[in-house]
Amino acid sequence: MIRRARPEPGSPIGFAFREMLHEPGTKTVLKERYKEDGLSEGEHAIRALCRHPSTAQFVATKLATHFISDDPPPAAVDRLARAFRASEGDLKAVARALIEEPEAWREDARKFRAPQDWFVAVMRAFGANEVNPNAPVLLRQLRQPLWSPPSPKGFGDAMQEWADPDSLLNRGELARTISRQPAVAALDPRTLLDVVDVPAGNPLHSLIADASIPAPERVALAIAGPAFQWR
Amino acid sequence: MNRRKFVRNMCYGGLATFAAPRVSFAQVAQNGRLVFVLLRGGFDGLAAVVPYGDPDYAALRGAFAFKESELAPLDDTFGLAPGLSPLRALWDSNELAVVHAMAIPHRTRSHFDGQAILETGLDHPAGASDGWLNRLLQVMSGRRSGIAIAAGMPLSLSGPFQVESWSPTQLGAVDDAFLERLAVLYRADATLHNRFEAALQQQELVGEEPMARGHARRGAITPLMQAAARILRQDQGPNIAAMEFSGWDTHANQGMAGGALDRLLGQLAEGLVAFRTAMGPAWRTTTVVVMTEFGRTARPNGTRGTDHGTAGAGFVLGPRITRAKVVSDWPGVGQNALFEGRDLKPTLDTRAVLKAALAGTFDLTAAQLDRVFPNSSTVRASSTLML
Repeated sequence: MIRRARPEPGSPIGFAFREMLHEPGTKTVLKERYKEDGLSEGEHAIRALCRHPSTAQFVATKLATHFISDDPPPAAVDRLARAFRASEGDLKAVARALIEEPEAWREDARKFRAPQDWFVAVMRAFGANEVNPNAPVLLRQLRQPLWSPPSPKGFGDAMQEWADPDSLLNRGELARTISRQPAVAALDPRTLLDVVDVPAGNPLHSLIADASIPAPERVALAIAGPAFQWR
Repeated sequence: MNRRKFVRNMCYGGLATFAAPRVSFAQVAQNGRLVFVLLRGGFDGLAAVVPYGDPDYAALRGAFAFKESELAPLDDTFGLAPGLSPLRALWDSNELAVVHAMAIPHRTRSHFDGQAILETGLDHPAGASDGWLNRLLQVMSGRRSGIAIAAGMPLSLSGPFQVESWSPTQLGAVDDAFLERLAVLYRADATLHNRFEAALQQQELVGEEPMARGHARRGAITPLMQAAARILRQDQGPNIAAMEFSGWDTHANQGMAGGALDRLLGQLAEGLVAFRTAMGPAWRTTTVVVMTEFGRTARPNGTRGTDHGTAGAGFVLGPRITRAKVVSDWPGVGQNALFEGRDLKPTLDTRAVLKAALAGTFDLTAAQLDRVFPNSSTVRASSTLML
């Protein structure tokens, strides 16, 4: 099977079966034997992999880790895995289960923002309609270059991976640089309080209200500060 | 009596008959520092430490064969590539050892798997694992702390033992007032507070010099190594560091003297020499290990480069080595001596070298070393490498 880079009009996007490149004979995948059957053998193998008990668990764990917590509650993972199995791998059903998962809505559940998450959140907080053309350069400085994970496993999203001391300082420096741009410098710092979740009494409140600090610096501090590093 | 006991007794006795003062092992164990430098991409060991004296070398490497006159000879068999000639000074002062025909314990031509094995210290690729430097921190007793002097957190230092990090950025410095205000915000976050404080302390240690922050060319070796030395030579600073450099995956236009690889080797050599200078008195108890995930194919490919190979070379630097030497069970490079007919054959396990480097730098038992490298009880530390 090969993947088409540009699908021809009318043809399925993604995969095409090339008879000439197909390896003939019986194949064994995870101890199951698949007799020579062209495209169908691939479909059967994929179906078998989807039905494998590890698959539901793996997908559920990945989703729970990404959306709930670095150490997701086992009950949540179980419910997601069950949704996967019950729907025979229907990701829409699993997504619905995730949205309905009570653990995902707990006040104290939070994830450290990976650099891309943080960067997008910053752009949104500033009401940007388009992506800053310097984004690839900035993401590289944040150590998460766009589309370039260090291995096929992709980028992780655990706090352990991104919240090292120097990275926090990095984000502070970047926030300061961005805040000097005219469009951002004109923002009212109080709007940042709408997008940052801080309890009453948190020092961010008094800092935003402190008119003796120039507005751009207050904006920078809001997005560089710890509250903005979590989602 | 063995050499270690002899040195220790000499220092306690206070009488020295050696020309240079020797550091007692007890002192080294407390002040020992280790720097692990990973060259990502698989650098060509045969082009860095050239076996010019091997009768099969010239025929094997063809257009890529160095002439003996181009090299800085180390002994009758091996010579340093032109770019590495700054290291000759370290060789002459017995502070450089070469390890050759060395490989990770698992055969792979994948960068990801190769680096993973080198950094986890395992003998096979594993899904999730601590890095061996983190395991070292877990296993050591007494004062120890680790730092990544790199743009990310290298796998070798990853794990439950919390470590620090530092790297130069090009984002422009921020003023102190900003940092102080930011620090106030971070104090209100129980989880992140310590990490931010650590970053500020690191910032202070490295200093305000232009090359320290903000102006270092991204990836430039010498400024980074000098900044690393400034961090590591502190008395109470980190004593275990991981660094990494890339650009070594020379599939095309590798070049000869003055070529792409040679220039990169030159930067590495200058960086290592600059590191030693910047370490000052702390160099006495420091060991630097330079390794890569695999070597390269013995013969050049069709794009004037080399492809992923198996065994390669590495370096161990510092006053803790016995003396300048090439540590290798050299297999030769005749056609029948090659691995799979295409690569230098491995005769030395990277873990044997690392175990020796650790044992010679810190006070560690064999049992502790076996915990740093799981399932390695059959791998003995290279016995002639370190004091």
